Amino acid sequence: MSSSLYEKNVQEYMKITGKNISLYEKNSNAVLEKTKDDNYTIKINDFNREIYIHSKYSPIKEGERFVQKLSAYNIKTVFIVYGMGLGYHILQLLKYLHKGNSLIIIEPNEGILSKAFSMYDWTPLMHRDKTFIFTGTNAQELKLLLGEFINISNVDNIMLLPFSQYPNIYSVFYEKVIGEIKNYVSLFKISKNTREHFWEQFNKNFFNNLYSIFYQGTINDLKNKFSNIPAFIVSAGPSLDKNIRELQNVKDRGIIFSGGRTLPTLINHNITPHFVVSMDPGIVDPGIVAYNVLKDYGDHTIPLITTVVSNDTVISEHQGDAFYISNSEYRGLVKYFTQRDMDILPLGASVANASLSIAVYLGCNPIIFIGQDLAYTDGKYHADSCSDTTLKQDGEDNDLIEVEGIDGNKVLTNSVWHTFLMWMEKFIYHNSHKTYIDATEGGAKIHGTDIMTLRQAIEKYCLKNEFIQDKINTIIKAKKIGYQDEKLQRLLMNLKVDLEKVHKISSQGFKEAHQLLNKENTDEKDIRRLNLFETQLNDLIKRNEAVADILLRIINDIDTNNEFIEKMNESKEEKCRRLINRNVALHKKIEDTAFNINKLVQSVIDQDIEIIKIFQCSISFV
Amino acid sequence: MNQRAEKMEVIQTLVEYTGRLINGINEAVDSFHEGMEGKGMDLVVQIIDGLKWSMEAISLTLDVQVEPIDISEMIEPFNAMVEALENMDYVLIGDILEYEILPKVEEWNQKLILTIGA
Repeated sequence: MSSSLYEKNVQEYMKITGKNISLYEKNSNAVLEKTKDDNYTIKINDFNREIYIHSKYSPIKEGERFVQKLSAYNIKTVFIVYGMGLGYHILQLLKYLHKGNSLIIIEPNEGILSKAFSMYDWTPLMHRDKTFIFTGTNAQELKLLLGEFINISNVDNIMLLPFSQYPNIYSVFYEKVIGEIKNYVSLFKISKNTREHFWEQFNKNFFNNLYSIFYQGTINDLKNKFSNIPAFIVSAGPSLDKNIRELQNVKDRGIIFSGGRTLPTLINHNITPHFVVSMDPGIVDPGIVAYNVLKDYGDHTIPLITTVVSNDTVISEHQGDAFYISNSEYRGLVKYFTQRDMDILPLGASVANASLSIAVYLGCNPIIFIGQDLAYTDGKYHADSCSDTTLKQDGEDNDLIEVEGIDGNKVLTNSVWHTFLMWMEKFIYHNSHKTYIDATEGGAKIHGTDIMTLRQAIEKYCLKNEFIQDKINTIIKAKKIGYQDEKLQRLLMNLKVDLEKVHKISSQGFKEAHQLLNKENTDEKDIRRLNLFETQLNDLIKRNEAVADILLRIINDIDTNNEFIEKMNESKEEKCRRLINRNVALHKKIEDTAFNINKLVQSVIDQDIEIIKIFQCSISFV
Repeated sequence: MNQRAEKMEVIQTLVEYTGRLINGINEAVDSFHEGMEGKGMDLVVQIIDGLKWSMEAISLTLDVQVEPIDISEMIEPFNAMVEALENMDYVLIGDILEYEILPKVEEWNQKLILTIGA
């Protein structure tokens, strides 16, 4: 134990986290004690009982035992260790980790981490890629940290390893850790399932929306065009009925964003929003619900902000101008067809989440939420003025979560709203240069917002006419594109030809991989042969960014599937088997997808020919 | 049956019993290490009962043992165990079982086997 070692750890930790661990040393309830094998253990005084964190006989053996618990994991598994202690088990664990493994160590007791800092040089661990030592019991900080590590590709690949009796000693925080992990798993599983289930619908929407995408504006046309103008994000929470009338006073002194559900309510109150935001791909709930609400008002001319994969019926019925947001999985397709910049924004899981992100992108400040209860205010699901207030989802009653309300009391929410809330708080945290006002006047507390009534917010921030409508009209005028149907036809034909090539390669790849499934003693030669098909696909990926979008998404899905990720210490035979299975799944998926997308491409080509025919027909009549 | 024969029979039983006790202690140690404190504690209750019976039987058969067993060695681990149980310190309970009680019971078992073989 040396003081220079301690200082080195403390300084490095402070540099990374901003937290000075030495401040916790003085009032620490942890003391070091020599063990029988001449190492150290920690004894803590927990409510007048003395408890050992490590074995007082052989902490090293205890560390070795800890890693014996490791079962099926792979090179991308995220490890979350609850309890750092003096870190004997962490040193053992590191021997088994691949550089691709993320590692979060949670030490609830800062005094214990301080002791660990006096024992060993932890700076290499602090600098290890994808690694973080979290200390303390701040659930909000933990939530944000987990958000940095858990994502859609590893949500099925997380291993929580509680050390020693940490779950008993620090049981309250342990419950929170489990709760937060579950929340993220649920959040990303929703996204993952949405993506998987809706992909076909997304593709259909994209190609059906293609004409509109080609000719309409992009979100970039609006970027920072409304700097420091207040934004009002109107949601359909039960509290909306309390203050919606106040919005009439905003006029052109603030931008009003409406979702589909709130649009009829606003119109009925003689309030015309500046933008309607629609994100739903629209097949099953909640998309279809929002669409049904919107459909009677679908032919409005209010500018629509939407994504390239939003519901094609909403897009085709909408009579006004549109601004498109790209999608990370369609970036290449968008670029291929439009040759224009179209940004991707973080959109979250709800229209309000998306509207928040859009408002920040447009430069708005402050951002004011109304009707954003995210909780059952007065036992209601939505505002009475918005449709289907009595809507109940299956199993809703079993899905209640207690969260902090705006008045500090507890309110009930459900896992879906909680997901929206978490997303919003994370977004606000990462965009803290703006001011956020919760003028809902009810519901769940959104951390990072100031709470005031809508009237107060309007009086404080809506001080002058911003001529918003004029600005929007100018932008719309500037973005108009002339007739370019032939160019679009040519691009569609090229894509069709390349997708036919993809289909042919993957059909053969699938056939050969499938034959290997029944072959005994497969070897690396077989795998090299299979790799040739992927090499051919990679050539097409490099040549055509639209093809790249379609294929890379499939390849990424396959490569984040636990079944196909390299196992730790797998044998050559296991490796061959895994790679053959991967090729079977990969080529099957690519073969089917290329076929299906080509049908969509053909339908757009046919649609274009119809338009040309009508156009020619109308010319001959003239 | 004379008294010595009866005592030898008790020792035979003790050999088998301490063998089972060793397995039980190992199982309890594993349970604590795997975070299954409930199962570990159930086993601890049975282990303590088993140790009490073994110590009584060892005392009664002391005069026939080839290498007499000193059961007083178990007093200190017992006291440490009582304190660990009061504090619900599962790490220490596991430690005492593994590093204090288990080696002694294994030693008893060996000494008892020696008596039977003599």
